[in-house]
Amino acid sequence: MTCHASEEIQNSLENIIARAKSGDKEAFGLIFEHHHRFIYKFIYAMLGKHESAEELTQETFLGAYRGIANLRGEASLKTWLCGIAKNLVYKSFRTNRVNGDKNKDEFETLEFFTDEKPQPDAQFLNKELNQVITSALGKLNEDRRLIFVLKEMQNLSYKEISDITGMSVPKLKTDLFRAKTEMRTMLRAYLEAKK
Amino acid sequence: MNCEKYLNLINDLVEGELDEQTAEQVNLHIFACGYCEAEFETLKREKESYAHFLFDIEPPKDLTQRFQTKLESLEQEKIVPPVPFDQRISNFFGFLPLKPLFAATIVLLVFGFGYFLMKSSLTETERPFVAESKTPPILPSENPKKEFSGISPRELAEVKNVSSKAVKAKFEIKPRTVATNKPIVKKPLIGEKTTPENLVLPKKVNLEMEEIRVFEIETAKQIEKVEMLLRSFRNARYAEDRAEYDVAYEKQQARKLLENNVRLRRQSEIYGTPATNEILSKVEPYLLEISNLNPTPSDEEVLEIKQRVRNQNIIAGLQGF
Repeated sequence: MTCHASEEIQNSLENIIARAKSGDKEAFGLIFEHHHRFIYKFIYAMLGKHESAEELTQETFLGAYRGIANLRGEASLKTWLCGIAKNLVYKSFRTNRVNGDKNKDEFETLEFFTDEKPQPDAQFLNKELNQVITSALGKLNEDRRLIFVLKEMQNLSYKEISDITGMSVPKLKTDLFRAKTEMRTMLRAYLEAKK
Repeated sequence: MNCEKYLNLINDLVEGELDEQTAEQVNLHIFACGYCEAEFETLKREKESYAHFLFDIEPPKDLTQRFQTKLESLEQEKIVPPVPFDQRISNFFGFLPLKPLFAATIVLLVFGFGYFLMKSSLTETERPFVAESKTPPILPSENPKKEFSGISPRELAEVKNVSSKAVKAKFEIKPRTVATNKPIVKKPLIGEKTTPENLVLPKKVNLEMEEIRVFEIETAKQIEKVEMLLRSFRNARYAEDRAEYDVAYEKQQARKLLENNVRLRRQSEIYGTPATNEILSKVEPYLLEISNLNPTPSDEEVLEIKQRVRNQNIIAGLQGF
């Protein structure tokens, strides 16, 4: 029964993609509806700004609409869309670099937490934690940030991340380990307070 | 297995990347070892905190509506009737105060120059592809054969025996057909008369444009792949359990890309696109050197290439392209 259900879903997904490939806007609308939250969150985590996330999400799907005919059968739609979004995010990084590296300034500045500083109130912990995570992400190297976001926040598999980034799995693991270590150092006070 | 070896597996367990059997084995160890249990709990708690980060992030409710509007406007742009060819030509030369006859002369000169370039590039295709790598040159090593130690026998045959028919056929690019009003006449063989069968009708311009478009797309994909490869190679680090660089993946990719690079570079010469030709020529030595690395390359070899990738700012150049 479950097998039948998943088969039906797969068939309908393939049907939707086939319709979108033939230029059916309604079918593409369904794809947007299904995936835009994932892409929006990914871009937000990478750039730390809602305006950029809105703009690049739309650009991602416009790019996908233009290029959906090139989508190969074996490629997952999600990783394909994520690949387009990743390219736009990197383009944005480059533009920021050309315009005087505003990239780091766009994220809120993060105070360096030490054990001497007071622990944050538990009441605001989650909200504050989200703020400091945003800031800490902005301090990560771009490639490590990408892997960290896709794995820790978007929960994709190593295989999917490898398809998106083109990196080998051992390299992904090494970069992820380093990103996690850096994040732990920057967020130690908050993570310990959450225990 | 000691705790140190389990730590990697604990990381994979938290990431949900272990098969059932290994996961069970690691769980048994965690149950028995206080240190590993604490590490597991820490990693799990951290992951939960990070995963929670995006829970509250939601796109604006009207984003779907706004996207639909954008899509509609994109469709309308498509519907706008295409500008006629003569109109486009006059628009193109609109910024110059030129008479139509003068403009036509310029077009003819450009085509003539293109034809000359095509002719000269055709003679260059006779050269072996390895020798064409321009800058930077491969550094001399103690054993010259070592340079090709990583190359397959097939590729070695290509390098050594470039005059062989198979290799020639592989890298031979057919010349671009130039559409003219006159039919092209096949050169008759000695003793053969010119007959109507020798007349070949010119190919359509559309076909030619399609070829160039496909070439451009292929080049863009190639440049992107090379950029990813060099980025990955530049960031290569020691393998997890060995004191040597893990560049096996990069080496494998470089070999795949090298062949395509040579083909595209030659096409770029024929199509007369110097910028594309320059960038492809620039990356080719790197691809060659990475693909020729030993299966277990020494630190010096890897570092030398990495250093050059950094110093020559090649990745930034590819991004700009």
